[in-house]
Amino acid sequence: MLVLTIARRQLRDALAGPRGWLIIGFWSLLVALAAGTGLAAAADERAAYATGEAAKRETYGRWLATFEQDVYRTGQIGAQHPLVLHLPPAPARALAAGAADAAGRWAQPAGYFVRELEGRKGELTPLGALFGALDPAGLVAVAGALFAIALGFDAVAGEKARGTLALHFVNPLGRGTFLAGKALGVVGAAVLALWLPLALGLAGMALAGAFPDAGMRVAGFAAAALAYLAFWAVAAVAGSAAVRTPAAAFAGLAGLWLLLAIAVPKIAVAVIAAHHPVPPPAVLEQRVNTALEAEKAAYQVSFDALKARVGKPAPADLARLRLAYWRGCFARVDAVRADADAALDARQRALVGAAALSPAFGFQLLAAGLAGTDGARHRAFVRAADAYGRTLRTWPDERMLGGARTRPTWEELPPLAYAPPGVTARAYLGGLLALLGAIALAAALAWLAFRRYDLRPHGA
Amino acid sequence: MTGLAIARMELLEALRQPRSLAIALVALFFFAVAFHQGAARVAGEAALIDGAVAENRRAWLAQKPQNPHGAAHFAVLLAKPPAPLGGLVIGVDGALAGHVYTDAHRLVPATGGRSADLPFAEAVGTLDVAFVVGAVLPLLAVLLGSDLVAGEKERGTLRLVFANPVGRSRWLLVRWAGRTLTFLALVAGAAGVAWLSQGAPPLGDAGRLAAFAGLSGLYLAAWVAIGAACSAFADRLAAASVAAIALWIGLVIVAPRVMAAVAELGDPAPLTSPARMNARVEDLRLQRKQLAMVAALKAKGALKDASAVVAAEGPAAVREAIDAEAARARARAEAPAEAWRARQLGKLAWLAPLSPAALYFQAAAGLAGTDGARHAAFLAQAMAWRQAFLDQLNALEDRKVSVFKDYASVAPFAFTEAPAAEVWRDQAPRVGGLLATGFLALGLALWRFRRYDLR
Repeated sequence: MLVLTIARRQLRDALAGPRGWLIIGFWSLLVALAAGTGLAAAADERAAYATGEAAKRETYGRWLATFEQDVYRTGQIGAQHPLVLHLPPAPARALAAGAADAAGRWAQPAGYFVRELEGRKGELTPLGALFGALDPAGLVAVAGALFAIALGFDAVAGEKARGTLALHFVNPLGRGTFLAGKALGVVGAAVLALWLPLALGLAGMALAGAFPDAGMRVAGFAAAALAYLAFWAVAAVAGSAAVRTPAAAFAGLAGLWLLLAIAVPKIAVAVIAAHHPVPPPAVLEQRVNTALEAEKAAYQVSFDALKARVGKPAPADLARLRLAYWRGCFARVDAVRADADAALDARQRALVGAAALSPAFGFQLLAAGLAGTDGARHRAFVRAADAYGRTLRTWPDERMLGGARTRPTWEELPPLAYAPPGVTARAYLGGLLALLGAIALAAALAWLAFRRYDLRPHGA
Repeated sequence: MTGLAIARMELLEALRQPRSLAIALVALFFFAVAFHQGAARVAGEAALIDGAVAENRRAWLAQKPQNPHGAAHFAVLLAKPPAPLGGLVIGVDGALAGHVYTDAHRLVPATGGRSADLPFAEAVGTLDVAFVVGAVLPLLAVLLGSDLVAGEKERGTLRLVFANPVGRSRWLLVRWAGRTLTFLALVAGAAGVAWLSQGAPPLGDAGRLAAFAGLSGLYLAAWVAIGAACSAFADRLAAASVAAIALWIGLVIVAPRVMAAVAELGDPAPLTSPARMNARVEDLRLQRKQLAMVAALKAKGALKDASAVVAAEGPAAVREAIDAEAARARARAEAPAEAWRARQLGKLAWLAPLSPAALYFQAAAGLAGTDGARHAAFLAQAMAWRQAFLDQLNALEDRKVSVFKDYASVAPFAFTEAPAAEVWRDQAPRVGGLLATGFLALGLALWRFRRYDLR
């Protein structure tokens, strides 16, 4: 019961007065802004997809119409077709921009090589491009951590500065109980002042239709945000119990925030990129083009030989020749890209490991996974687009060799097989457990610091 | 002479204090990471891209004679050369690949994206030299400045200083200048050591480098002045430090994100779709092909009633008309996006002075050549080159040239950088904004310090 009494008092101290109102007011404003930005981004993504799908149907229709002209040339025409595939909207884009703003929204499997088209960053304003979007995930990860620190940095050192700390222990009160009460109070303040406005903001976004069929993802995000804010609240108490003055606590915690929320993610990404280099896209594409020169020459030799042997080649013979050519091309493309693909896979694995270095980075990765805007999903799309481009090159000839002699319909066209890797329950629980582990670590550090804490006012 | 004495004292104090070593070590660490992932990577990539362009040119020149139409289908690689200071300021180049493969069939040629290079990098931003100078060092600078008055007072030395005949304004100005210069010297030294530790990678254009260094110095001096203002408004060092940190968080981390969100609120980016634009050009291409076939049949005498257009103007005029229509289609599709971008830039010009960090990052990207403007210029020049390339080959077709073999007659693509005067002119208002911020902070510090309680 004593714990609850101390917690209630700490909660009141943290939220009462101008500081509490300032935090609640400013935070609520930022949540409203982030919700508006997230909603606009999600609507934009859905509209772009709808426009692209309509255009795709139009261009596919034209491609299919060529079957009337020359059924045997369709493979070739398909290869030249400026087909553009659109990235389906993320399930909960409004939650986190993740890689969505930088990633291309389109892929073009024309020629022999899938091209991921320009990222949306090209459309962004200079500041948007330099700082990233203000979305709920970024808001919680960066600003939420600071607000939680602001709620709790003086929980212990403030009492010491005011000279009231020693008075608590006039009564029979254990240090552990006191510290637990303080931590509970700051966590409660973070829940009321930060998490509740966030939850209301998410509910408002849901009512505005931002998350159709993604209720579980939003609930998962809310739970992760709660654990993340609780970590910073407990860390704030630990920082407060480790130094003598509130100013020193604030400075130390701001340094910790700078390290964990800003520096570690950037350094991790920089180090990962340097250790798993990937050639620029232009270089990879040129390597593919060079590698395919031999395949094209081999095709010409086979074609000339066939022509010399039979005069006018039968359509089925030409189709077989083309299929062999395409498959040879695909094998060469795979060989050129093998190293780059391996490096990209290694980067993905390293990112998961780096997330353990910082709760802020872990939370952002988890949020992007839940929103469906993570790099893995994007990469799966580019791969699916690549596979689809290959299917479209070989499908007309395979269909013809299978005996089809009629013009194919739109419905007959194989669909894009895109199955984005979702956040598995195991990965989500792993992320959540890591955040809980960080809370336990912060609590243990707080206890270690407070065990021998000098209760007298500084300088007394 | 009093000023020199104060400056010498400032220098000696800086050398004695462990915080100078701490500043140098923090700066050294961040600069080393930034050079490792920026300058070294860009230098490596530049060599790779040069190799790819050379390989592409070799393949173009090595083609066998063929008809001009076949030659037009060759995918020429047009690459954006590395930005003048691309290794220091990644800017938008971190997400945009900066290359175009020409293709006769596409209105929107494939410009590469590079997000798949490093999933998630954009969400956390890039650790480049601009980030170290623009975000990390201001925290150290503002804390250093926040000690200027309140720290002296807390140590009890402030009253002793004014036992000598020295004016308050002069004392504060000289201390600020001395502290700023010491800080800049430490930072420059750390940057130099970090650069050498990474094998001294090439940094780029010397003129722009000097301008970037000047801009960075001005920006950091403004942050020391902001710290000094915090110090002059606070009685205790702790209060001055907390205010300084809070200002840093507000101006560096929160304000730019909020500005970008506010600028876009209620004015979302218009939709652009390469699929839609390609669909339109495909229409035009087929139309052109049909008309050309009609013309060919008419020429053979196989068709008596050819289209009036073809009969009157011939295939070249038809193609020109269709090309003009394609250009109009492209302009129509791109106009809303360009108008939107102009609106956004206008709004940001008003908002950015609220945060020195926003001014600095924009000016740094502009000086480095990694801003959206240079990328847009590259795309425009690449599209113009592509059109000239197609026109050259089409003209041969018009003259009934059936075999094209003079591949060397097609000049390689060369990107023309914007004139230096234009770059300076664009950045001048931002530099002015930074100067104004520094003067404002210094003015506030001086104004408050005249009535500061020295006890």
